[in-house]
Amino acid sequence: MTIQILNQRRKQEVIKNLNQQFGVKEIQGNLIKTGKEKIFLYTGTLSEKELLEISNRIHLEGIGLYIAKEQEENIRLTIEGAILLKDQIIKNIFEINREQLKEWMRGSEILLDEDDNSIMKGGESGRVGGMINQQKPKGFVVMSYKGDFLGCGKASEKKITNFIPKGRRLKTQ
Amino acid sequence: MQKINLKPLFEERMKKLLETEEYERYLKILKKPVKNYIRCNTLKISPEELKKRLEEKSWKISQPFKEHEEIMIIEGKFINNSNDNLYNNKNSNQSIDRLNIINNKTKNDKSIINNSSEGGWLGDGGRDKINKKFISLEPGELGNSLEHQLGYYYVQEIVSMLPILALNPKPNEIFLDLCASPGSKTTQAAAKMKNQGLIIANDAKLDRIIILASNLQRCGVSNAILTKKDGSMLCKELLKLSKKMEFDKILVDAPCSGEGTLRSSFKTYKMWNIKTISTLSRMQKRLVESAISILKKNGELIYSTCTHAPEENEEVVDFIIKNFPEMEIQKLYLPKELKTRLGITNWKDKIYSEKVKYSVRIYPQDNNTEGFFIAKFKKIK
Repeated sequence: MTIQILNQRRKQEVIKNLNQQFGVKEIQGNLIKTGKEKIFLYTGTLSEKELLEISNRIHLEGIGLYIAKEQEENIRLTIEGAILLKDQIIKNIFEINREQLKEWMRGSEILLDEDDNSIMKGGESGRVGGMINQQKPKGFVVMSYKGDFLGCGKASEKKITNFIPKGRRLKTQ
Repeated sequence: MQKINLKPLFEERMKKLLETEEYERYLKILKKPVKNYIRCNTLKISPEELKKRLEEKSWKISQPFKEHEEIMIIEGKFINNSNDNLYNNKNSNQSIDRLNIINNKTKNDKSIINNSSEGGWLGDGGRDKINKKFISLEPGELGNSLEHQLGYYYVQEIVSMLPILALNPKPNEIFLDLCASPGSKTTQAAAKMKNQGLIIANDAKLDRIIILASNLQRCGVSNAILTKKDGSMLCKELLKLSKKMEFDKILVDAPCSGEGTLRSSFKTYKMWNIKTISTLSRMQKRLVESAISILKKNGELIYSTCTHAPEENEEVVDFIIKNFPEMEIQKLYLPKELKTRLGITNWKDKIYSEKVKYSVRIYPQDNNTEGFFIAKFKKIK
């Protein structure tokens, strides 16, 4: 695995995008890319030099925590990315209800009612007050249920696409 | 109750390790299901908050260790005492069986039949309702809850938590988990280290690395590097780095014959044979020898297995004591609520160092757990 440790400028670009999308202002630790899209957070003590030497000498299978993916000039947070940045995320939060949670955690998309924006106007957690005047969701939104952050979905005209990985889905009982 | 047929040679060896009366107790406990232990992942949620959430799902939680609130047992769950949807519940027969075990009632007593699916993985089944029954969880239910999938807890047997409790890795220490998959101990270490310092989590096989990676991800571990190497090879390569990498703490939770996991993983036991034990013993010695070479002065090493075989336990500890004078065996400080036994000092024709007694054996019948072995060393020079 070839690792690319993002320099300060690149890190700030990522944070700037996260700020525009979700209101995130800072991320502690090194941001690392292992390919074109996936962003990992590494909070360990090894310096950049040491990390690079290890990765050159010993084949690494993984490093840090997968927190986000750069996708179509936007950033999609993973479940862990959303949980980690929970206290900073203040916009584009899509609060779902209990029935929607069941569907979402099974990996299903959420269908949006064309005429109804009420779902974006605050949720059960009360954390989404900032969205009251927001229009219908578009692009990546952080899915939330009563304070639990569930990663991102991608909202289009009629639905929110699900990105919950198969291994993290709940099985129907 | 499970029916267990033990292989004659295995039986003979266990009888040698245990007194007759003890052996009977051992056999008896093997037939019982293990308790549902979980460990709260403090990287994501506090024990208080998790307990509250799980109780809201009508799960009954206990915290058996005063000094370790993160360790919890899911004793079972409360469900509504109603006959509704009896025939719609695909698990109703299982539920009835589990209910009967707990309540000592007969299968024909329909008054105890319940719809256990009401709570489901989102929980709150039976909340705010009276007239509840108490049953054990469905098979697989612990791993199919929202809290589990969000990484708020890890399903982990108590004995498997002991190596990290004994090693106690701290933030900013450098920790090597040489045989890390599936990641129960790595994630436990990361929580203790508050995602600081460094963890190198290694395993030799790709399929096991994939499981390890997914558990580290689910638990939100951000201070780890994953490698796929034979443990000895990895240690050699780490020594070759320009700035020699040495570790404050190393865990060698070695691949073993798994005799201690008989209650939960009968599959492992099916593969048991005496030849494997001697092969494993040689590999385990090779692994600890390599680990010692990259341990810092004053660094600590835990050697552990989930087997009872002395060739894989005391013999390896004896090998360290006799061949590495720089390594001093340490007294283990484990939760005082647990009953533990001293390592043995002779097995068949072999006599081990008296110091081997500092290592600890745990048999399933002692605490209603799996079986385990653990020893701790410090590099003193």
